[in-house]
Formats: sequence, structure tokens, C-alpha cells
Amino acid sequence: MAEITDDIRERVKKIVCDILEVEPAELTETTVYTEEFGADSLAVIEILTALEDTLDVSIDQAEAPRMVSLAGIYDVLAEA
Amino acid sequence: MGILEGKNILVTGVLTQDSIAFHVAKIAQEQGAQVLLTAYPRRGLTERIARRLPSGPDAAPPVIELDVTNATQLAELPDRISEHVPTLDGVVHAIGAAPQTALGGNFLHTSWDDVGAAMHASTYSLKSLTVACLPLMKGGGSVVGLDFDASQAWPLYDWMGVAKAGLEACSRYLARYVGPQGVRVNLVAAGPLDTPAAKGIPGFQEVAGVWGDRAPLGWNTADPVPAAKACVALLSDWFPSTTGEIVHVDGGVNIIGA
Repeated sequence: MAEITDDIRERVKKIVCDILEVEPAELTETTVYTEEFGADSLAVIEILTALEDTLDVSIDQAEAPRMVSLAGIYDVLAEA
Repeated sequence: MGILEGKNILVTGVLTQDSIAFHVAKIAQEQGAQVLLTAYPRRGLTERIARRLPSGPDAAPPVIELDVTNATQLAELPDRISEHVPTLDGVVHAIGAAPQTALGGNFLHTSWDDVGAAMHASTYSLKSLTVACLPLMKGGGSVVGLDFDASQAWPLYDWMGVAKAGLEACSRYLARYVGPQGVRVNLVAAGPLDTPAAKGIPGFQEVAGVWGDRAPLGWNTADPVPAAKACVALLSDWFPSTTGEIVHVDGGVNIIGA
């Protein structure tokens, strides 16, 4: 996925907010949600799985540790 | 015709596609079973993974929320299952959890509260889950649990090893008590596998290395299929007089002295 468009950013943020049950205003691009909201490793895996389902990409679960912020997710998606 | 044709099987412990339980559910479906899943702690995740089973996204198995330490959810389980199938023929116990203080070399200092939590989730739950499902297995059935060989002391596995030893004893006593109802209870003791559960186990790589050195058949920590196949075989009618047994799916490590 070469280009992370605004549309993709918006969809990613909605997925993350829905799974973590947080308001979009609470989540900036650099918020580390495992620290800020206490999200555990399975929450990150759920986000990863939801992104695969929604964006039709395949993401190695080994990437999960990088996917603890929106910015981290965009980086991983750009390489997916 | 598959070996689980016409059987209704409840599978716990499906977290990701790397879970042994996912592969049990997958092979069970391929062998003709109707599969139901329970989910804990993230139902949303299990529902997403369920859609990746052979039944496909439009016919994914029902997912029932179940924390095996929650007495209310256990009491409601038969009703929740009955919403989908009238009876059960098999139950897969793929559940284990312990506070981090119970593993990793803290053995001599772990509090009873943390040991108790490990035992409740990992040992007693085999009894709780089986008893909760018994009303739906009036015609007999098969309970299969996932074990890690507890006859030896492993590095850093600590109270989880004690919990697994308890699981092995629990399985034998359960087999004794539910046998007259035609319900068999067996365990599959798998070698170390790269599952979501393994990620939380300190010393995993060290133990996995032993398997690489000692398994006569070799061992692939990335392949949960052999363990899953053993579970499906035990769920089938092909072990009609086997109960209280531990089937080692470990490449043969348990029979090697040195």
C-alpha cells in the first residue's frame, strides 16, 4: 500500500477508536495507546486483524509491536 | 465423510489464526463438525478470526462470550449454546492464563492470590467448563484439553507448570466422574508452539531449543496442525474407550532420556 491517503487515515482512526472505545479527539497521530489507554497486546492484534479485513491487506503479526500508535500503523501499512 | 460428521463441537481459546484452537476449529469443520466458539477476553477479535474459518465470513460459527472464571457466564452457557445447537458432542478446553508474577523465575515469591488466579483459569476451568456443558452431552461426548507436559520442571514456567500438573490430575478425576455418562476426557500435551499464549511465557525460546535438539521426529514450533489433528481425533468416535489419557504430540521428546 504505497500511499496512505487521508481517506485511509480516517478509516484507520475510526477502527482504532472503535476497538479501544475512545473518542477520536482523544487519539492523536502519536498517541501510544498501549501506554495512554492501557491497550494490551490482544487489543493491538484485534486492530491489526480489523485493518486486514477492512483494507484488504496482509500484515505479519510480528509487526504488532510497531502498531501502537496511528503513526506506527501508517508506517506498517505503507510497507504492506 | 469426515470423522466429525454430524457432531457439534464447542471450541474455546480461539484468539488468532496462530492459536492451536483455531486449527482445531478449522480441521473440525473440514471433518464435518458444526463448530461453536467461545471468546475471552476480546470477543471482537475472536469474531473476526471466526470469519476466517472454512465456513467463510457469511457462515462463521457463533461466538459466545465466556470467562471460565465467571460463575454466571458458566451457568448461562448451556442456554447460550442451545440457541444454536440442541446438544454437544465435544468440548475443547484451550485455556490457560496466569499473572506475570507466576512465571519467569519468581517461583519462590509468587503470592497465593496470583497462584490461585493461575489455577482458577488454567486448572479448575477444565472442571467448570466440562460440568457446565454436561447437560448438553446426555448422549456422551468427548472433552479435550490442551496441556504442556507437566511431569518435569521447566525453566521459568513456574506456577503455570504446577497449574498444568493440576490440569493433568483434574482430567483424570473428571474422566472418572463423567465416564458413567459416556463422556471421555483427554489431554493433548503439545510441544512448544508459537501461539499467542506462548508470547507471554518467559523461557519459551529456551524450552523450544530443547525440542530442536531432542525430538526424534523433529519439531516445528510454527506448525500447530499436528496438535490440532490429535484434538480432532480424540473428539471423534475413533477413541471410544480412551479416557483420562494424555496424548503427547511433541515429536517424541517425552520418551527421550538424554
